[in-house]
Amino acid sequence: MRLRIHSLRGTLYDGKAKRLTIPTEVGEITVLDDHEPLISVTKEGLAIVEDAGGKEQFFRINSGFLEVKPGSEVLVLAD
Amino acid sequence: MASLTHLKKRLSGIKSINQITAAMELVAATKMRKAQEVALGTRAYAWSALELLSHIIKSLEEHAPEGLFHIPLLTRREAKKTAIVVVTSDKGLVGSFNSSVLRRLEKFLKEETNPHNWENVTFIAVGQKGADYVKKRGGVLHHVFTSYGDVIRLDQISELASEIVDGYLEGIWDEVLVFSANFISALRQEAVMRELLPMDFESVKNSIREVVPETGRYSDLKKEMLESSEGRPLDYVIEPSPRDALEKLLPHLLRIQIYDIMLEANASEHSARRVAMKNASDNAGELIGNLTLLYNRSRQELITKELTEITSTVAAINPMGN
Repeated sequence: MRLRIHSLRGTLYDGKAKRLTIPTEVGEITVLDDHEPLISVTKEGLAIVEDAGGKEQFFRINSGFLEVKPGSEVLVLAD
Repeated sequence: MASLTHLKKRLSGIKSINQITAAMELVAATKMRKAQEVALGTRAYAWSALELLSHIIKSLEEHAPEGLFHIPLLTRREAKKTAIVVVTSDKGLVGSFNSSVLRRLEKFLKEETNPHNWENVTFIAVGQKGADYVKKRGGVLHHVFTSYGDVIRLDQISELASEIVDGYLEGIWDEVLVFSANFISALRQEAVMRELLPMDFESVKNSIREVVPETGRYSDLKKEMLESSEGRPLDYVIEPSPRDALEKLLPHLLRIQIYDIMLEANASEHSARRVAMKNASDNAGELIGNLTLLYNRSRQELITKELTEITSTVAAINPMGN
């Protein structure tokens, strides 16, 4: 899937990813390829991204939004 | 003819002024570029947030149209009280930057069809110059925010944004207008009025689009931004609920909008200052040229006079010339 993480300070991540684990208002969720379209409000915590090479990257998130678009496109707006 | 020492003093004074204005010109140019860069850095976030908003609204319209009603930030109510945010600079030496914003405000308050005047409006001033002006005109100042002049931090914006939103939700004011400078190019800025609250999708979109200048560096980004992926009907699952998501997203968007307005005012301030300082440096250069000419001429005149005196004295002592 293609993952983008934007913040008001700039783009934090833009590229292919295998997996995204992120805390949301209704609980922590993991997004993999071909997830159903979803819009969710994220919560304070740690977003974990497994990039194309299988390495894990961590991003601190205060609040924000998650959008899973059809076609395995994932967008995170973080603060 | 002015005395030589006097001329010399003036000349050195003007030279140091020239140095200062030239330095200020360079500093302002750098700050302007910085403000523009920061503004463009917010672009990806702002554009994605807008797209997200349009998806949520579309999904609400399809599945639960009644959910769109009664969201306070979007609902226009009778405007009994108005808050006006005046965005100016803290310091002077910016040419007509502040006066054009204040003139726009003055013109707006004078319009006959307009129920607002200096007495019945609450002012929030960003920048000392605007605050001073409102005080002088006898307006009610709710809050003054200063030191927004150099590239501003996000937390400064959050303070201003939450004050505007809280005041609106608590009913202290029913609409919020912003008077600020719109950055068109390094040589052209325009004073504009924008409506901040109640929020309107189109006006948010416009402010975000306006961050990209029309000409000069970065202007080619404009085309790329205008293409957006609207119009795709999508079936989203929205958690916790569309309404909650919308209520969370709107203050964010408002903050982005305010941030963009401030950054734009910032870029405008610095480019106005750059132009003003360039004019000052040019004038100083011209003065230096004229004064140097005058100085040299008086010096030569003095020498000629002394020589004449010496030769005439010699001639008087020794009339035969040997």
